[in-house]
Amino acid sequence: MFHQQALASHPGGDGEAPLAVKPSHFPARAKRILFLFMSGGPSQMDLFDYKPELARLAGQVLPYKLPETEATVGLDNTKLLGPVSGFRHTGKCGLLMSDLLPCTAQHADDLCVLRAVHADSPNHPVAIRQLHTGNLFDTVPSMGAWLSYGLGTENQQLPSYITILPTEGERNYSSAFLPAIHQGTAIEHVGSSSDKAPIRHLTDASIPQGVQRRRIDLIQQMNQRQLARLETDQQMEGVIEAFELAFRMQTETPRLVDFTDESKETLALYGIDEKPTDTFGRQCLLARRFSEAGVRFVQVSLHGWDHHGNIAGGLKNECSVSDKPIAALLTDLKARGLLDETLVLWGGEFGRTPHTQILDGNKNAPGREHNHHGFTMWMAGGGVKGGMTHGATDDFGYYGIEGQVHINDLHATMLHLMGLDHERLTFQHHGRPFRLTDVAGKVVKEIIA
Amino acid sequence: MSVRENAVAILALLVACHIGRAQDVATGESTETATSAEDVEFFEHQIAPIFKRRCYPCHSHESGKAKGGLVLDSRRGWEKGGSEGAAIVPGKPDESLLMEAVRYQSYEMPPDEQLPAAEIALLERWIARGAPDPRESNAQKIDPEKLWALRPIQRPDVPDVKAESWGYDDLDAFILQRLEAEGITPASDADHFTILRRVTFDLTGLPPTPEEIEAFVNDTSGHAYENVVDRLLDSPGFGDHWARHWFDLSCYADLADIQGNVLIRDAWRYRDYVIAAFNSDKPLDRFIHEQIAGDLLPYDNDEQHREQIIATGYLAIGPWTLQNYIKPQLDADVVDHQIDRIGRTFLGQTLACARCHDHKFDPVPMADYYALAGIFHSTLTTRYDGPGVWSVISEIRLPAPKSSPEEQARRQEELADLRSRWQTLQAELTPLLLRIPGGSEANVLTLEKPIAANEKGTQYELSFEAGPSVWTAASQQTTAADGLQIDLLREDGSILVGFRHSPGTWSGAKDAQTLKGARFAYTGDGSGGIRVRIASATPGSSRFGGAIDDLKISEGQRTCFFEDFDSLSGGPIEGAQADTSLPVLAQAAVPGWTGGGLNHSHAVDLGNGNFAIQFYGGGAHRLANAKPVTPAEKEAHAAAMDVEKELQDVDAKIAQAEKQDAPEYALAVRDVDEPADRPIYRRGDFQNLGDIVPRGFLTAVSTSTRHTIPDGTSGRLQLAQWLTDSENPLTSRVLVNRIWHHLFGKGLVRTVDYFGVHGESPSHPELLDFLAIRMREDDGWSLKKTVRRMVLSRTYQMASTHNGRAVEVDPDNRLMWQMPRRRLSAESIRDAMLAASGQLDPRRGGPSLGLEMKGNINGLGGNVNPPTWAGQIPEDIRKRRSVYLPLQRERPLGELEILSVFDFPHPSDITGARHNTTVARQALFLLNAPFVKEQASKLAERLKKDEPADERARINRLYLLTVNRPAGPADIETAMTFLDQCAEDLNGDRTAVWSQLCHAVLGSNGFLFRE
Repeated sequence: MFHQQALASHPGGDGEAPLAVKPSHFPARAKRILFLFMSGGPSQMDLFDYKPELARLAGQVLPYKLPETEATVGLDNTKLLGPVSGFRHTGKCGLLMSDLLPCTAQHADDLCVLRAVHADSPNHPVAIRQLHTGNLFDTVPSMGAWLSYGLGTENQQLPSYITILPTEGERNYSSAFLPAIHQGTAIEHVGSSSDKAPIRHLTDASIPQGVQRRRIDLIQQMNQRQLARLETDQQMEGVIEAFELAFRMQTETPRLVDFTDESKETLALYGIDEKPTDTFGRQCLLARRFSEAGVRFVQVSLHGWDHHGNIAGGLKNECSVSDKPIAALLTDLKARGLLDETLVLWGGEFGRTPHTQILDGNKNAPGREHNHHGFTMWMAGGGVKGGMTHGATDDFGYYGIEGQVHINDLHATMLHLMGLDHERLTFQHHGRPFRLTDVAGKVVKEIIA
Repeated sequence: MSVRENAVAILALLVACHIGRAQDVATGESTETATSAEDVEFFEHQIAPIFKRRCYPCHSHESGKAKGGLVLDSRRGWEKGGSEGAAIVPGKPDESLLMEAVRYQSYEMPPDEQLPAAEIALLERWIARGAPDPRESNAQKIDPEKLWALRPIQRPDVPDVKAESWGYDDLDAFILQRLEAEGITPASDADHFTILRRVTFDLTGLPPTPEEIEAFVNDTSGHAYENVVDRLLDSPGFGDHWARHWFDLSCYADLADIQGNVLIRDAWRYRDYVIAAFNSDKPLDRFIHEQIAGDLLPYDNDEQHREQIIATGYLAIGPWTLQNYIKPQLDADVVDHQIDRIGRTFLGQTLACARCHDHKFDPVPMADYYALAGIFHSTLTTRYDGPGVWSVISEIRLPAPKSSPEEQARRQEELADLRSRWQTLQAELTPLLLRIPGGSEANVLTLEKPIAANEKGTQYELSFEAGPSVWTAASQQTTAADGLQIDLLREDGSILVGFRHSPGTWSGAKDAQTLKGARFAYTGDGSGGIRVRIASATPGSSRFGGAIDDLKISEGQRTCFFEDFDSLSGGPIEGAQADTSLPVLAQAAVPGWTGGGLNHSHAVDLGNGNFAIQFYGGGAHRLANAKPVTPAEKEAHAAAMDVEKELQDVDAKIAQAEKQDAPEYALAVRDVDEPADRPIYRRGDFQNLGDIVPRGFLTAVSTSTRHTIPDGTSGRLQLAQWLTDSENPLTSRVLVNRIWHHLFGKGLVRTVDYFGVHGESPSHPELLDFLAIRMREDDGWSLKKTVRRMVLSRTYQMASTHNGRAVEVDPDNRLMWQMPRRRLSAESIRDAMLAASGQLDPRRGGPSLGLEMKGNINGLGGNVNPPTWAGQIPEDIRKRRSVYLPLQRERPLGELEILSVFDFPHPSDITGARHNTTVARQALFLLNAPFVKEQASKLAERLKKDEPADERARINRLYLLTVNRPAGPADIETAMTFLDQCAEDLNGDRTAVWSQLCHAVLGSNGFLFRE
C-alpha cells in the first residue's frame, strides 16, 4: 500500500523488489517483532524486580558507593527508596509483579523477564540511540531497518518497518547507510478524526482529489517528456515511480487507521475511547493490525517513564495508561494465533536507581535517577520461554550480577529469533562491514523456547 | 564504538580480526591465525577470571605492581615475561614458567595459597591450546608504501592526447587520454541554458535569474562563460553555498547536545567566519590553521584576533553529550569526535577505529590515536562547573571593538527611553492578562477566591515562603535582581496594597536554594473581598510564579487565609492536557515565565464559536485548564497579545542596545593550563590506563617527526602545520578530491572521507595528484582558483548525453564521458523555490535563534531546556537562504523539514558525500507540504504581476524562473491544457489554477535536477 520506492540509483539495485522476502540464515522462531518502547526508563525495582532487601532497608543510607566518576544532582542526601508499589505473585509461574500492572499480570506465564539488561550510557538520547541502533553516537541503521534489510517483508503493500507515534528523533528509526527503503515509516496520528493524516503530508484536504491527480499527471507528463529526451536516468525514473506510490498511499492509507472493522469488544479490550488508555490503546491496536498484515517490525512508543520526582505518582500514571492496552495486545495476538510467531519486546533505554533523587526540593515525593547498570525488559511470544525470568540484579536492583544481557546481546538474540546470525548480517560502509551488534553481542540461548 | 566491559571488547577484537583476515587480499599481507570465537570464550570465561583474582594483585597495571617484572594483564605482558623471560610458551604447558609457578614446582605462585587443582588444570589446557589471548591485538603493520594515498605526491606530466584541441584546461588531457584509450567519445558541450544552470547551482547553490540567463545568451564577447564564472565566484552566494559543504564535515549546528535541547549562543559567529573565509578566498592551509589553532596564532590587530578565536569554533562545536554525568567519558567522547573529524576531513582516515585497538587494516596503531588524543585532551572544549550534571561548551571573550564616548552617551539615552516605554507597556499588560481565564494561572498567579481579610481599619499580616518549587535543576538560576510583586486587588481590580519582594539569589547550588520568605502588614479599607496576585517584578524573568508557598494572611493569632500552592509545585500542573492538535488562532509568549514551566499561550479554536486559551511549557504540555471563554475575554486576550507583541519589540530593542556594550563571546577552544601527554585508554576505557604516549601525529606519514610540540602547549598548532606540510600526502589529495566531488558529482576517489586500505582507489590517480599539487603550489591553496580551473574545463562543460557504447564499457561513468546529472541538494531545492517565488530574503549573517535576537539569553541562566520560542525560527530568518537557518541536532524544526526530507545530513555526522535517496516521502512533501504550496502560490502571484495579460508569456516566465530555460511550444501547450482542464475543476478560479501549475512545476524533475 505505501511501499516506499527503493533508490533506483542505489548501487546493487538488480531489479528485484527490494523488500521481497529473503531467506533467513536458519529457521526462524519469530516472523516479526513488535517493540513496546517505554521511553524515559521505567523503574525495574518497582515493577518487575522485587527486592526485599531494598524494602527492608528503605530510608537508610546507601550500603554501596555511587560511582566516583559521575557528577550527580539531587543525590546529596540520597537514601534507599523501597518499592513504591505492592508486589504479588502472578501466573502459574509465580512471577512477582507490581500491583500497578494487574492486566499484564494475567499474562505472567507468557512473559520472559530479563532482569539484568545493561546499557552503556545513563543519558537518554545516547541510551535511546543504543537501544534502537546498537550504537551510542554515530548514525547507524535502526534494528527495524536491519531486519527489513535482512529479511524483506511479508506484505509488499506495506512498509517493512513502522513506528507508531515515535517519541524520539528520526535517527532512531533511520536506515542510515542501508538503502532508504528500509527506514521506519512514522505514523504520526492515531486518532479517529479523518482530517488528520496518519502519515506526514499524506493529504491536502484543501483541494479536490481530482485536481491533485491532474497535478500529478502533469508532473509525470513533464518528467516523462524529459526522460524521453535523456533516454535513461535511473533516479529520475525513481522519482516518477515515487509520485505514483505517493498517490496510492493517499488514496489507500486511510483504511489502515480505520477501526470500524474491529468489534466493540476488541476496542473495549484495548481501552479505546476511554481514559486514560485511549491513545495508547489505539497505538497498540494499530500495531496488531500492522503485525497481522505482515509488517516485519512495528514499534509503539510511550513517553513519560522518566520519574526523577514523585515516582510513586508517575509510575501509577504510566501504568494506568499502558497496562490494559499491552495486556489487550497480548490477548489479541494470542487469540489470533499470532503470538507464537510475533516477538513482543517491552522496555526502556535504561532503568532506575534503588536510591532516591530529589530534584525539586520536595522530599515527600522523591524519584529515582537513571540506571543503566542493571534493569528489566521483557519479551513474549516469538520463540522465547514464557513464565521465566533470566538474570538477576544485586540485593538492591542496581547492578546486574548474573545473566547480564547487554543491549548488543539483546539485539543478537532478537536477530537470532528471527533466524538471522547477527555476525553475518552485515553491510559494507566506510571501508568495513557494519552490523547491528557492531563488534559484540551474544545470543541469550537460555531464554529460547 | 561503544566502550564496554572486557568480554565485549575482546569479542570486538575477535570480530575485527575476522575482518582483517577477510581483507588480506587487499593488503597483500598475510596475517597470523586469529583467535577463534571459542578461544576467546574460553579465555574470557575460564582464564581471565583466574588471572584477575589470583595474579593481578601483584602483576598488573591496575594494581601498579609488576613483581619480578611480570605483568599478566596483556598478552604482551606474558610474552615478554619477567626477569626470567617469557612466562608462557604457547602450546607447551610443561615448558612454561607460569605452570611451574602455579604447580609450586620452582616458584610458588600465588605465594599465600596454591590454586585449586581445577584452576591449574584450566591454565594447563589453555596453554596447551596455544594460550590464545585476545587482550592485545598484534595488528599486522601495514607498510605505508603499499597504500597509494600515503605515497608522496609527484607532479605528473600532462598526458598527450590525440584530440589536442579538445581540452581547455590541463585536467582535460587526463580525462581525454583515458577516454581515447577506451575508444569512448566525450559528450558534446552542454547548451547555454544547461551550463548556466549547472554552474550557477554548483557555485552558489541558487538558480540563474531570467536576467542572468538573458545576459549570458546575449553576451557576444567570446568570454561569456568565463564572465559568468567570475561573476559567480565574486558573488556572496559562493561562500553561502561552499560553506555548507564545509559544515557537512564540521558538524555545525546552532543547538548543542545531541538531545537538541541546549542552545549555544554565538555558534553563528563560526558559521559567518566560514562563509567569509570562502568569500574572501582565504587560502585553505590558512583556513585549516585558524580553525585548529587560531587562538595560538599571532595577530596584527583586534579584528584578526577575534576572527582567529572564532575560527576554533570548528573544534568547539559538535554533538557533545553535555548532560553526560560521567565527565571523563564526556571528555573522551569529545576528543574522539575531534580526532575522527580531523581524520576523515583532512586525512581520509578512520582514526577513530584506533580508539580501542590498533586499526585493523590501516596503518594506525592505537598509540597514534592517543598521541593525537593527548593534543585534544590538552585543549579545553567543554567545561563542567557544577552543580548539576550539565557541562558547557568553552567560550572565549572576544576583544571588544571600540566606540566613541558620544556614541556611548547616545546609546545610554536610547536605552533609558526604551526602558521607560517598557514600564508603561508592562503596566498595561498585567490587568489585561488578569482578565483572561487561565492567564491568571500562568505567568501571574491570582487567587480568585475572595479573601475576607479586608475589614476597615484592621491590621493584617501577610507572610509567605519563597522556594523553588518548579524544576530546580541547577540549570536555572536567579539573580539578585529577580523579584516578586505581590498585590492585593480589590474586586474592581484596583490595588489595595502591593509589595515588592526580593527573595535573594537562587543559584541552584544545593545550599542556596532556600529563598527568603517575608512578612508584610497592611490595613484593610473595608471595600469588600480581595484577591491576591503574584507576578514577577523583574522584567523578562519572573521565574517565581510557582515558586511561592504557604501564603498566609492572619489577623492577630487568627488565620484568615492560607494557600499552599501545592498544585503548582513539583512538576507539571495537573489538569487538562493541552491539546496541541487544535488549530491555533493566535499565540503569544507569556511574558515573564521563561524557565522550564509555562511560557507560551495559544488561543485555540474549539469549534462552535468557542475558543480557549492554552498555556504551554518548555517540556511537559500538561498545563492549565483549557476552557471556553467569553467574547470579552477573547478580546482581552487579543489586546494582551498586541501589547505583548510591542513588549517583545521593545524587549528586543533593549537587548540590542544593551548588547552594544555587552561583552561578546565565541564558542572557542583554548589550551588547558597544563598540557600533557596522555595514557592509552585500553579498549577505549578511560578507567583502564595504559602507557603514556607522547603527543604527535600519524607515524605512517613520514613528515610526522618534523613537527615537535613545545612544552606548555597543546600541540594543535603543530598538528595544523603537519596537516598542511608540503610533504603530507593526504591533506591536499583529500581536499582537492572533495572539490571535484562537489563539481563533478562524485570524487575521483568516490569514498571521499576514506582513503584507507578498503577505500576506493582513484579513477585517475595522476589527475588527482596533478590537481593536488597544482592547488598547493601553483594556486597557493586557493579554493576559488581551483574551482575556477575545474569549471572552465571542457570536461565540466560536457552535456549529460546518453551514450550506449560508453555505458557498456564504463557503466558508472568513472571515466567521465558525460557530466553526471544529479538532484539538487536539499538546501538548493528550498532556496530555489524561494528564489522562484520571489520570497528569498537576501539578508545574510548574524544570529539565527530567536533567543539570541531577543538578547534574552542571560535570562535563561544556563542554556538548558530553553523555552519553546527560543528555538523557533524568527520571522526575519524564515526566508533566508538555508545556510542561515538555525540547525538543531535532533528533531528538525518545522522549517527545516524540507532539508531532512531531501537528504540533508545529520549535523552530528561527518558527511563528505550525502545520501541521495528517492522515496515516496519526498513526493508527498512536494505534493502536500505547506511550504511548497505557499511558494507555488507566491510564484503564481509573482507571475501574474510580471506578465498580467498573456498567459503564454507567463508560462515562459515560469519556465525561466524554475527550470531556467524558455518554455518550448510543447511545454506551453501542455501547460495551457492543464490550466483549462483544472479551471473546470476549480470553478474557473484562474488564480487557484495558476498555483496548481506552479506547484506542479516545482515538483517536476526539470526543477529538482541539474543536468
